[in-house]
Amino acid sequence: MSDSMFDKQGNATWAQCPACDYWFHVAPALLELETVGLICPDCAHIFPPADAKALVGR
Amino acid sequence: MTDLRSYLNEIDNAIFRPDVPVSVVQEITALQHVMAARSANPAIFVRQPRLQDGSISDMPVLTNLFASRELSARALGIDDHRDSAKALSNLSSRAIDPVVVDAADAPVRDIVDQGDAANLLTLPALRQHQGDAGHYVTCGHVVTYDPDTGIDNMGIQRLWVRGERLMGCYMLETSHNMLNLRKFWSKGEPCPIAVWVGHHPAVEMGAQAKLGYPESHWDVAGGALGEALRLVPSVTHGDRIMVPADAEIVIEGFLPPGRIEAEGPFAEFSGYQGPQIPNPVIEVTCITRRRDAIYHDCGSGLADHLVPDNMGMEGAIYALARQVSPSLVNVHVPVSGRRFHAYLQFKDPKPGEARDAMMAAIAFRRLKAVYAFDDDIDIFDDRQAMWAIATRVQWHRDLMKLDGLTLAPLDPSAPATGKTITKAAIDATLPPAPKPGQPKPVAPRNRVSDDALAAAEAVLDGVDTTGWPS
Repeated sequence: MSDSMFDKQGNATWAQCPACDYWFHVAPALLELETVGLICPDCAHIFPPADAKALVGR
Repeated sequence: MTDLRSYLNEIDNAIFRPDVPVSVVQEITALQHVMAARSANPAIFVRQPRLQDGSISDMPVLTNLFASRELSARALGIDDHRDSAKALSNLSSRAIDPVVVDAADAPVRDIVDQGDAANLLTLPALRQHQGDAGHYVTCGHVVTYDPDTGIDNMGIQRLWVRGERLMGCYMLETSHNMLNLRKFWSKGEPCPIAVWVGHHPAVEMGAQAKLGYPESHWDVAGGALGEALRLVPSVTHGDRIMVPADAEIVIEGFLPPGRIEAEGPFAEFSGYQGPQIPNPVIEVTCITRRRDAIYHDCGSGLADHLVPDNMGMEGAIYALARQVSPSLVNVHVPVSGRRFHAYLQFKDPKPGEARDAMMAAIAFRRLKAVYAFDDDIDIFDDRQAMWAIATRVQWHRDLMKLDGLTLAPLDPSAPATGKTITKAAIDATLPPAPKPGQPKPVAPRNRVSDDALAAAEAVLDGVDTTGWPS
C-alpha cells in the first residue's frame, strides 16, 4: 500500500460465492456484520462472510 | 381526475409500443439503452412483458417515462425544459393541500389482496442489468411517517423483490425515511410503510421534492400537479399512512425492528453497480391495485432515472445560489455528470459573484463539482460547456478545491475509508468588460452572421441528410 495521496487506490470489495464461484460486489459495512449472510446474486446461496470462497479488496 | 393514464393519452404519439413480447430480464432495459444511444427518448409501453418463467404478464410495463427533459418539463406545466430551475426553485410555495376520498372512490382499491393473497411475484418487476441481485421495484415511492409528529415522508428507493411478501429496501443512512425508521426501531416497534407505484409524472416529480424534516410531500406533489392530490387511507395503516387514490399499485407492510439483511448489488444512477449492503426488509401485508394496473418501471442509471431528479436538483441549487448571486440566470444538472455536476450560468456577474454562487451550490450534498459559465454558453449543450472550460479556464486561477465536504452517496470513485471528500468549483466565466458598453478584454469568438446562417438553413431545407457521415 502506497502512502502517496496521489496514487490511485481501488475502493471496491468483492466476494466469491462458495456454492457457484460467482464474484459479486459487496460493501465493507456488510462484511463487518458477521451475522448477516451474503446472498449470491447468481444462485441465491446465503452464506456468512467468513464462508466466502474468497474476499478481494478488504 | 389527473393520473398516469390521462397523461399517457396526452403524449400518445410519444410512446413506443412494441407489438412483441419483451422480457423483464434485461430486454426492456436494453431497449432503453439502445434508444439512448440513438438519442431517442419516447416512453416505452410493453403490452406483453415476458416474465422469467416465460409466461406473459397480464400487467403491462411502462418505462422511459422521464427520459425526455422536454416531456418531463411539460408534464409539470413548464413549456421549456430550460426553465425548470427557476420553475422548480419555489415548488413548495405552490403547495396545494390534498383531499381525502373514500376507498370506494379510489381506483387503486379496485383489487385488495391481503395476507397470503398478497403476492409481489405477480408484478412484472424487472431484473434490469447484469449482476443485479434480482427483480427490483424501481419506481416505488416509499412512504413512512415521523412517529413524533405524524408527518409523512416520501422518497423513491430501490426495492428488491425477494419473495411473495418480502422485499429488501435500500435506505440511505441520511434519508428522512431512515430517520423515521430509527425512531420506530428505538422503541422496539416495526416501522409502518407503504409504497405507491404509478401516477401522473407531475405527482411523481413533486413527491421527490427536497424538503426539510419533517415536512409533508403530499401538498408539494399536489402543487406540482396543479390540483389537490386525492388520498385514501392505506388498508394496513389507516390514516397514519395515506396513499394516492389514483396510483396504479400500492404495497403495504412493515419494516420489522432490527431485521437487517443483505441487499443488492444493483446497477445504480452513477452508471456503475452499487454493492451488496446491509439494509432493512419489508414484510408485505397487503397489495392493492387498479383492475387494469400499469406497472411503472424506471431504468436505473439511464436518463429515465436521472432527468426528474436532476430537474429537482436544478431548482434546489438555483434557490441556494441565487440567494448570493443576483446575476445567476440558470442551472443545469447534466445527465452526463449523473448527479455529481452542476452548470451555473450568469449574466454579467460582478467580480467574485460567480465564486460566491458556486460556494453556495457546492453545499448541495450530491454534487462533486460545479461550473460557472457566461450566458453566451448554452449550458444544456455539453460540447459548449467543454469548449468554455477548454478556452476560458486557467487552472491556477479558476479552480477551487474545498476539502472535508459531505460525501456524495454511491460515488464509485469515493475513497474506501473516510466520510468526506474534496469538491471542486471551476470558474469558466470571462473577465468583465472594463466599462459598460465596452467589449470584454478577450478574443472574440468565431461567428457567422445571422443572415449567413439563415441562408445556410435555406440551402439545407428539405435535403435528406440521413446516411451522411456523422
